[in-house]
Amino acid sequence: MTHKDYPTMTEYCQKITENGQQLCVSWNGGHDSGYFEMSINEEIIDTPDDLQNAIIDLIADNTDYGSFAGSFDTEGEVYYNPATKCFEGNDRYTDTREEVKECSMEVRVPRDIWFDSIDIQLHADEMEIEELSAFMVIKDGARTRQHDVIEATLQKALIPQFTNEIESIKDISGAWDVITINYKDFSAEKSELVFYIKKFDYSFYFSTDSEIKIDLPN
Amino acid sequence: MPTFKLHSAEYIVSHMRGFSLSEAMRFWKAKFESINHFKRDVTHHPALKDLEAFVEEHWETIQPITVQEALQETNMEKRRVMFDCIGVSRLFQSLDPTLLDKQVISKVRNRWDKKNKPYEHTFDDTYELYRLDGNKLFKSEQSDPNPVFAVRCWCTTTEREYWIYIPEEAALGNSISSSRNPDAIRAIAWTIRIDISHPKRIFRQGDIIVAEQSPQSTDTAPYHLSKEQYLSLMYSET
Repeated sequence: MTHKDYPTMTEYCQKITENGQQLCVSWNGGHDSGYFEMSINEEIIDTPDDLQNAIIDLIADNTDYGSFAGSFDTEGEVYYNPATKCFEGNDRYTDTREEVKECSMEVRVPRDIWFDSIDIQLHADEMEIEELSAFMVIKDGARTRQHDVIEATLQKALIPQFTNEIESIKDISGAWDVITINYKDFSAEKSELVFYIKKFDYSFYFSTDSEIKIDLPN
Repeated sequence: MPTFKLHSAEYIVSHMRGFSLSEAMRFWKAKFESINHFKRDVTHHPALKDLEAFVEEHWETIQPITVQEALQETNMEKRRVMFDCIGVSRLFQSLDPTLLDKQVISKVRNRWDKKNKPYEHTFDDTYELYRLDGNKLFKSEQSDPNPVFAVRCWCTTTEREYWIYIPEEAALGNSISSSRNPDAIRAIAWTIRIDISHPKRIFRQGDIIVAEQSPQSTDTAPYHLSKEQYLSLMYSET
């Protein structure tokens, strides 16, 4: 079948679907790669001809995903409706959005240790915490073995707290944050300094479903 | 309060780890103006009082690191820490920078005499823009390292000298422009950032900038002053 047999896209689509066959263009992509493809009765056309390519291009132009460049995911399909002479279907667009998680996580260190600030670095994906480190920042001064021990203890105490918080977030896609706690922000409690982390940044998947209707050119 | 063994601890200078106490003391002597500045910024925690006492005892005899030592240091991270400790002022004074532009602004300001009577004080405010060739700082690092720029100015009250690093575009103008001309006033203007539109006047005391609002002022993203704004808005600078 060639472009010459069917001078317009509409004539081609009408012919293909006249006996109830399904003509579909679907797509899947995001994060800088993806594809559009045509299928007839769920059979993918591996080497589309010029006219079929023109139809695929038309659908691609209308969805406006271009080369799928960007940090999103999309999946959709449209079927030719011979009654309306349009391609009709759905698109699911998934993106990530940033949000702040409110919490109350305890950071407790001995009062007799010196530091300028404590940096807590969090890196989690949608499955688990990939990295959680606590580092006692000293701009100028002495550092002892006690600093290493406190950092390790702090890290051990924070992992279950962050794990609980992250597991409570619906559709989380990740969390990347560096929480800096200055020395003066701690409160003294007997022989310890205490600070409560009240929030951290995370991102979550946000999907929107939309109906698509694409007219063919006359 | 527990103590620690001074000579077996690891020392940190300008966030860089791995110094011995004697080495760190030489860096700190270059970095801090006086033992009081050192005590204020480093040994404020009670557990560091032994360190404080030791450094204070030796402060007068500590030989600060020198520009020549910094230039001979092959570890680039350490060399940058050395430059940080030595400071822009001593660095530029030691390395024979090129004077690119000098401008003198005559200013008139109200002052008050011993009887609290106001009078007009006229004085000259001088700004100098210098360039230091990159190969004077990083000879072994790359073949043609970028130059460094600084503006030199004086406190109008104490006449103390200040050097402030500035980026190339502030020193020479927009890189897109074909005619790049050094401008000491544009350079000093760049060092001031404010976050309101239509300021009425600007005051500067050291690192503290105060922008007085006008009725038209609104909050904006922080921006650097232009030369024209600096000349028309800067009221007091000490």
